[in-house]
Amino acid sequence: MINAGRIWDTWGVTALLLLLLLCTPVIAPGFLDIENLQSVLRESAYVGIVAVGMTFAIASGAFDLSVGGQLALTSVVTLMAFNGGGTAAAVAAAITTGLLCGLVNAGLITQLRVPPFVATLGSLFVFRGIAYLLTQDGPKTLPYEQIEAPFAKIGSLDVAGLPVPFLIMVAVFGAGWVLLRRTAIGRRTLAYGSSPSAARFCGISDTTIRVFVFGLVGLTVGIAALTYITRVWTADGSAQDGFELKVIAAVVLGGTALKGGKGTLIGTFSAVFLVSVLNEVLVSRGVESAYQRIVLGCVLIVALTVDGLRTRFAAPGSFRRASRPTS
Amino acid sequence: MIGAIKKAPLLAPLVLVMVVLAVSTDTFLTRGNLENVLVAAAILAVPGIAMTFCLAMGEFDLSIGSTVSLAGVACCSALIAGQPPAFSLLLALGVGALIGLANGVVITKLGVTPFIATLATMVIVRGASLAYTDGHDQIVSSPGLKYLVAGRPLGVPMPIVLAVVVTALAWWTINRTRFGRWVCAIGSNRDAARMSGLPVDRIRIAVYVLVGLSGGLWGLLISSQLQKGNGQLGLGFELDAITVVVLGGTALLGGRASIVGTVLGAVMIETIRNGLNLLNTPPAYQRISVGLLLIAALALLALRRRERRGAPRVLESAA
Amino acid sequence: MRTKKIASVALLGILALSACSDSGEPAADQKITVGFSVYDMQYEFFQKMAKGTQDAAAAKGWEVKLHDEKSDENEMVTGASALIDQGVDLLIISPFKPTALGPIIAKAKAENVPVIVNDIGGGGTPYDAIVISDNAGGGKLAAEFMDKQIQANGSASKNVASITCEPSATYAARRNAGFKEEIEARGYTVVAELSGNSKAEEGYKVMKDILAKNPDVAGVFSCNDPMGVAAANAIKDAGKSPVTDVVSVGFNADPEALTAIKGDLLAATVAQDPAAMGGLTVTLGEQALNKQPIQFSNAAEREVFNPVTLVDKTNVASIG
Repeated sequence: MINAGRIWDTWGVTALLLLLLLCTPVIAPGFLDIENLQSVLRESAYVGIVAVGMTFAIASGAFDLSVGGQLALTSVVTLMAFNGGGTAAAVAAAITTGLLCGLVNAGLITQLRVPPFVATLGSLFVFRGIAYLLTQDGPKTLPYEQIEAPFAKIGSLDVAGLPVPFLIMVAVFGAGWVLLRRTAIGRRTLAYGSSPSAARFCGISDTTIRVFVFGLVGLTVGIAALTYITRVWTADGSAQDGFELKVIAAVVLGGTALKGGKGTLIGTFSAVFLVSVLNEVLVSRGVESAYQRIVLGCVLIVALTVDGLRTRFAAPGSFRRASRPTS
Repeated sequence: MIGAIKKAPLLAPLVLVMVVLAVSTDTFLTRGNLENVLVAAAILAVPGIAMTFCLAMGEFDLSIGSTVSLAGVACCSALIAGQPPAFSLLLALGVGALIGLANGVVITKLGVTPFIATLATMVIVRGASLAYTDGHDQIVSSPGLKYLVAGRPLGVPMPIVLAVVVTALAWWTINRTRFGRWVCAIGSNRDAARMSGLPVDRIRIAVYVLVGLSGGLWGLLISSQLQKGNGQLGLGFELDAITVVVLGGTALLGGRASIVGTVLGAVMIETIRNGLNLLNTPPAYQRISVGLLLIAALALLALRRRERRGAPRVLESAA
Repeated sequence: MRTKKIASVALLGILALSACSDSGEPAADQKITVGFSVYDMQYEFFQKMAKGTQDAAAAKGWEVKLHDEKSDENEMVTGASALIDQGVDLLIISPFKPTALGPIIAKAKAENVPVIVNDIGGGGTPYDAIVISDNAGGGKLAAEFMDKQIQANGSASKNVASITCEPSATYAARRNAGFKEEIEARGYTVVAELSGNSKAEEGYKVMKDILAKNPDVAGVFSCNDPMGVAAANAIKDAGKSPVTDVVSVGFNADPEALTAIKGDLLAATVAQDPAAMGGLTVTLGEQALNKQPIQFSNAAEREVFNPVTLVDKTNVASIG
């Protein structure tokens, strides 16, 4: 039986994105220039990569407010490692630092029993603070002399016309999709998200889920930091202020419910590009940044209103949708 | 009131921090400095208290920082246009209430998740403030507006008077009125609250209007201090307001609100900020200490609750 | 998995389509196009800088493509690179994060586009020239003025304070460094050096804390005018005069500072001239395009200083 609501959950944002793309030749001539498309794909990658981890977190019923702090700290440490030990050291440092940040969050939540919201709000301050401490003498940078280093190329190289950061993002989404849909831990994450207590009765441990989910967020931040830092070549404590809101907005816009139990990576993927394409269209139309904000805000509300109204009218009499995975 | 203080886990750490500062600096305990800390805490406590209602309901409002900016701009523009101070102040509060109403309606009637709805209004309202001012300061020199921070009825600084009144009203509302019980009931179980016939939507709208109003008042206090309004004021304030509530223990209690906790949270944040400034500490340490404090205070409370109940249980703070 | 494939196939399809449509390149235009990537158009300072740049370019019959970085390093790199992709002949950039100039300059070099940096900093990259206000010199001017004004006030105290921008603004920090060097040479002590993170709200609170700790402080220098005027407001709210009790000096000569100076709410500010800086970048850009030598103020860093002036009550009427 066809369930229109279910299709909308997964494909609604994708449909909006395709609609917007179909309109671009008229509303934003020049948008479809190859360089411009590459630029859009490239610039969205770091948001998209972390959005994969965040989709898991939100599907498990928690979200991670500390990703901005994690990105700043990981980027700073990565640059320090690169300047000290080259590409291999930088990649290792990025992955390790990101993962460690995630495990710190998981530890706070499972060992100190602080709710995820508070734990990650606190660690947001702490991670950013450490990044500030490490950059008190000025931002860490990728020196211009290293322009030919393979590491510096990650952010700018294209393979078959597709930017490397975008390819990395696609790979992360692919791996995330397999994890969420085809493995036991993915299904457990969703089960835990729809009802932690029921999941506990089924033998799913809090600790496993928290470590998995927050570790995964940290890991994606580590990968994202590699694409981010090789694009902007610099980082300090203030890097990407407000990043957490960007990422969470993309995940929720994509159709993953904040109350947990439901996660759609396809939606997240499309939402990341919906936001960046819209932004690009507004910029190319010469819309001032103040009005860009207003339009983006309205689009967020409209997109979520459609979903909210559908939920309301699709399920008269029941106040809460049964949680179920969608693919 | 005594019961509420017992519930406030922040009191002991706050006293500890104050003792440390009293010993390590020779100026912390001066009258001028304490007044400084309390005035700053009072200004932070007012929106914190409104936000407490929101978190007690299991939701939060990200748009308050932008409300601060737009309310300040509204008041200052009205003053510049020659409107009397009373009208300009009311206009700012009205702007705040309207933003709150918009949040409430979008959330309850259109079914948009609070996180996204208030994130969207945060962006829209900031955009409106920037678009209206076009990047220019709205500079005023208004004794009427200045009275909000510089006035001293009965010798007490006006922000403290405001905060005391707001605290008392909020404490009474939460603990002694139907509305307060309803807010907490929605926070513990919204579906149950709806099924038992509570006007859930109207209560939620009312809470968002309250938060909006407090954002308007916050904007007035900031513009009163700075004698200007512009599109850049209030950036990141939403996090400050939520932090004091969380620090006060409301998020962890879930379905219960600790007004006293929020006030102590505001005093704590401002004491630490002031103390680190008195000690000439670089700003990086301020962030770290606020973060560690948040985690430590909440971990302590969580551990204490666990001991009391015997059962390990992680409470979710629903978004 | 199929669903993901469809999504990426769709994107690839669009890429392919656009690759075809890209073939008809228009004939090379003789008109020179300048790309100007600006820090953040929300600030009056950068609005004036953009105006100065556009006016100077228009006078030469050039076209200007404006890009707003919106205070975001990712947007800065993306947008400035896009300007180069669009084939500008010259790139002028006022960088939000100077240290993020590297990838932009690398791309410009590859396309043979000269880069003139306007203000903020060069981030140690091989730009062609940078126009910069003499930040340290401005800090020194502020110290000179403060010393004179403190003596005129007849204050016995030799304690002054300094409020800095956010820790990452290393170039703006030169203002506080220049101020500190000069004021200490004149026998004063900087008793407090605290950050207001460039924000008015924080500048106000920091000044309150400074006054509580050092009630005898005789002067305060702030790294920008929003904090300078906010600090002056804090001084006034504490019942003191920001001119005759605690000499308050800001930096930038924003309209709010000029208004404050006229109303005795601020003692002085250091004026930068963003419009003139914009004009200067266009002149330097033309020289770079024609491969003419540029006269540097500091050849080692390829810096061209735009002079700063001290604005106090005596000359405020002649500014802005």
